[in-house]
Amino acid sequence: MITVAAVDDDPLVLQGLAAWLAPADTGIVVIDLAQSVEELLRGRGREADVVLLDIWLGDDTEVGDNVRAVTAAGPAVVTISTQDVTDLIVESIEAGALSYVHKSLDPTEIRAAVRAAAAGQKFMTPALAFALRSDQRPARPALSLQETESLRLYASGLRMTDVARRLGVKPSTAKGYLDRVRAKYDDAGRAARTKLDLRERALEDGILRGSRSLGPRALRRVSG
Amino acid sequence: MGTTNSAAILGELSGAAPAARPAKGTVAQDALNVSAARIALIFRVAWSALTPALAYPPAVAAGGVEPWQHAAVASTLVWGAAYAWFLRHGRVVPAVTIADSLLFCVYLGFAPQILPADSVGDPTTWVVGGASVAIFVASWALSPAWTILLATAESAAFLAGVVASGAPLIGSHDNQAAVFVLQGFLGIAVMRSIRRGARQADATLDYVDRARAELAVERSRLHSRRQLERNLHDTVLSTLTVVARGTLSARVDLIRTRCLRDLELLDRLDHLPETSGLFASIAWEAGCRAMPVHLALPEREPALPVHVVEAIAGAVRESLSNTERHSGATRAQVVADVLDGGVRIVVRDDGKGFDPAATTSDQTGVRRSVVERIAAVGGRAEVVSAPGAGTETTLSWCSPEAPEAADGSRGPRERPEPDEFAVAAGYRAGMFRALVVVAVVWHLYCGSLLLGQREAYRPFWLEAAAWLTILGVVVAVAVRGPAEPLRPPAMLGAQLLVLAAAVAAVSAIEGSDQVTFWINWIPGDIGWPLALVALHRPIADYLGWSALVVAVCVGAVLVAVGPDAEAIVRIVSALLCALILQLAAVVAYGLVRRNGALAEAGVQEAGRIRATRESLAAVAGDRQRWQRDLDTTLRPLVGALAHGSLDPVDPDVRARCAIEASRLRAMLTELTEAGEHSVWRRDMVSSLSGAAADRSATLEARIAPDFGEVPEPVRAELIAVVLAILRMTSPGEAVVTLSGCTRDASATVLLPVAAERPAVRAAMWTLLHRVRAAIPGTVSTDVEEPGSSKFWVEVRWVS
Repeated sequence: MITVAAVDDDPLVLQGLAAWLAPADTGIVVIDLAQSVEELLRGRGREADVVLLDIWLGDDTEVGDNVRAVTAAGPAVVTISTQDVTDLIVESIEAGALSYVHKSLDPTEIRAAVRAAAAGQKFMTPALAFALRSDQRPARPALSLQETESLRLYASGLRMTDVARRLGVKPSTAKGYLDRVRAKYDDAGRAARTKLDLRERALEDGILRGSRSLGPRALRRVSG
Repeated sequence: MGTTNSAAILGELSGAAPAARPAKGTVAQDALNVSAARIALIFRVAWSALTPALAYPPAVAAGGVEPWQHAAVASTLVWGAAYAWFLRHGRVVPAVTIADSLLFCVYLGFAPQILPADSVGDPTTWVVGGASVAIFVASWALSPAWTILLATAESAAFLAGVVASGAPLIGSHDNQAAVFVLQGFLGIAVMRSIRRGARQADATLDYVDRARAELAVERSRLHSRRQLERNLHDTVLSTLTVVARGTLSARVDLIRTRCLRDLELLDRLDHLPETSGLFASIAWEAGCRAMPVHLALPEREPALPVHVVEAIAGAVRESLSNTERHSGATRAQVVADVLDGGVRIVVRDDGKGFDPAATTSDQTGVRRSVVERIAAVGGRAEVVSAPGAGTETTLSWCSPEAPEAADGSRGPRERPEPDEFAVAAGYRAGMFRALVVVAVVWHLYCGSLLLGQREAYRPFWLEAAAWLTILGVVVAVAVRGPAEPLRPPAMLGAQLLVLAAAVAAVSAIEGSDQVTFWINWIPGDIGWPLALVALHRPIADYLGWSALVVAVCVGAVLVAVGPDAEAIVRIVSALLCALILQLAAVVAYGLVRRNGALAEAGVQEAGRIRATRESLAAVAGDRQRWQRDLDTTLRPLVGALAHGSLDPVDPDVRARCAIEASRLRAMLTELTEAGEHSVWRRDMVSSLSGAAADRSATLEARIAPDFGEVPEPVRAELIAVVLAILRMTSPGEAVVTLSGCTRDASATVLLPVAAERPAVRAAMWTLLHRVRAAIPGTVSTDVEEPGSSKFWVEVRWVS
């Protein structure tokens, strides 16, 4: 049984979430609903396997900080939103979220992302592929032509097998392209996170030393 | 509201602030005055420092230095130091300038006492050069009348000195008397053109300043609108998504309450402030909030400058935003009073308040944004709060001048926009004309000298040819006009021609008299044509050519007289005296150019601001169109849900909600944080989601940020074909992906097709065939059928 907690600033969205996302036969159970990350970490939510985190909470918090706070407490994070905002999606991925899903009417995709996240695996969705394809920051990781093209085709709604056929490669190779994109963003994010952690520690202690918060997450990255 | 603990007197900045924004800008004119003082200082001090070197060699050669000569040189040095002290604040002092000229009048009048006997009346002495500097400085610091008066006084003193030395009044020395007056007129001509340039630059900068303030107001208004639209995301969009999911069928009451609130928000979209008045802006800011804000505003708008309105409205916005985000207040209140020549506004909330002694960075951040906004326009802000007692922010602003002065600074649109060409060309043309007049007048004057002393040149035709050549160059450049500088080869040719003429003219001077001013007219004349030709080049160019002229003149003396120290000193001081005004003119031109660059930058910025304002206007217009769209579809749906005439559990109603949510989402995605967006993108998204909605389908539009780079005709064809394909969709979710750049582009549509698949397939291929013919370049099209109920269509273009 996979335990899930959800964070959304709109109580109306949280109201019927459990019934919609996790009916009895899905192997998923919603154990906590919170309107802010702070509230989540105070309650049962910190013991969940996966946290569904709204990307745009109306409380002035940054999605990157939210993702880091939740992953530091234990749960894996899948970010979610009604509106695909490229910058926020990329920020959440670089901060360590395992997937981003669009708040659609059909919960199938969200369930798939939750199952993957519970197993510590990343999950590519078309909305996420499009966000990575649209990333225009100067610091974005460099992508190969094949990687860009597979992102474009995947974002257009094709299944992985069709993407592979159109690229003239095996499905496993096509999936490899997308995995490599994710790995590049993980590296970029890890570099940023490491710098951030070091800076925070340095600010706290006045020295630059290896920090506690690097440990568990770095391990998880290696195995995932 | 109990305010037991007060703190944060935040108006310290306000004391200095009113002066920070003068009613009328004089930046360029101030800069010009500072430069004028600096140049006057440099010339006077440099000349004083040079005086011993210029004065003693001739005196020693004439047989000994008299006590009066020591006294004169020492007094010049003292005056140089005193001059530097008087100008230490970087401003020209008229009285000091007059004293400077009068001092040299005294020197000129007592020339027989302070110069060797045979040097009196000689134009190459330190006294005459120093008098030229005095005239030049006077033309910068004083009015034209004063300059001419002082130049005439110098002439009179010079003649008095000549007569006192026993020489006749009328003879070869009267030339120099005329030269002083001529120098005065030239200095005035140059200065007038520079001052006019500075005034124009100031007018331009003034205009830019006001345009920037207005832009800030417009941007701020759009920003507020953006906030409102962001609220749509958190409210209406969220509600519709939840209804479409059907997860709240047991809590219809919740949906109704929510829809009632959402309807209120949609109503507020209609009430844009129509004027830029302060209270209208405040009412608008208050209306953008999710919480209720009670307003107590007077009927009549106060007469305030635009930038003050913007600052106060912005501060109110920040205060309300702070309340909404941090205080947990359920409502807020804004009370305004019109004071004599000012206004006071109080923003209160019933939130949790804070202890001003222990503020977090958030609170200080917001306080700074409120306080600094107000302080920047010379007002005060005071925040009073205590834990549990709410927060009260008082903003006040009073006109530093009389109320009618505040009125007078309104209405910036009355002033015409500066024209880039007029401003830039005005600078160049003014200086160009001044230099042409100076060059021609001076050259004609030299011509008269030439004719008067025909016997001093051998052969005379060479001298005359040199004179005519220089005149030819000046006239040719003058005829060409200020707008078209010579091309580099032609410019080099002209400069070499002038230099060759100078060499010829010097070589034709008979015997060892090259140092005498009346015969050797080259040092005085040659700089003007060179300055004129090099007008559009860096000053270093002119200085380089001037150095060549010095080399030619000194070389000619060396050839004719041999290494005679006295002759060298005389020709160098002659050159210094002659070049001093030319150098002054060129330095002045450097200033003109700087003003010109300042004004050109200003005009360019004005152009950018105009473009931004136009695009803001386009965006505002687009928003209004969009709002009408909302009024026709979204609002009736939310209204019906709010009033219970539609059942949120009904599958048809849920499908309608899904479609409206997808349209709203697509449009909101096209907004940027800054509140500006691309109108064509919104148009495109609007038509795409409209086409899907017509077929009862929702749309997921993924439009890459670089799709705008795709050439317009290709883009239009791609959008047209996507629209046509969307018209074949069955109910469900359609996904449109558009991406591309200048060289290639792709459009894909994933659409549900439930029935008549062969017919749809055939229609699709017809469409794709047509688009292949319509788009120039290589176009490939493809259709996939992933699963039994979907089509996937792709159109790719490569240039």
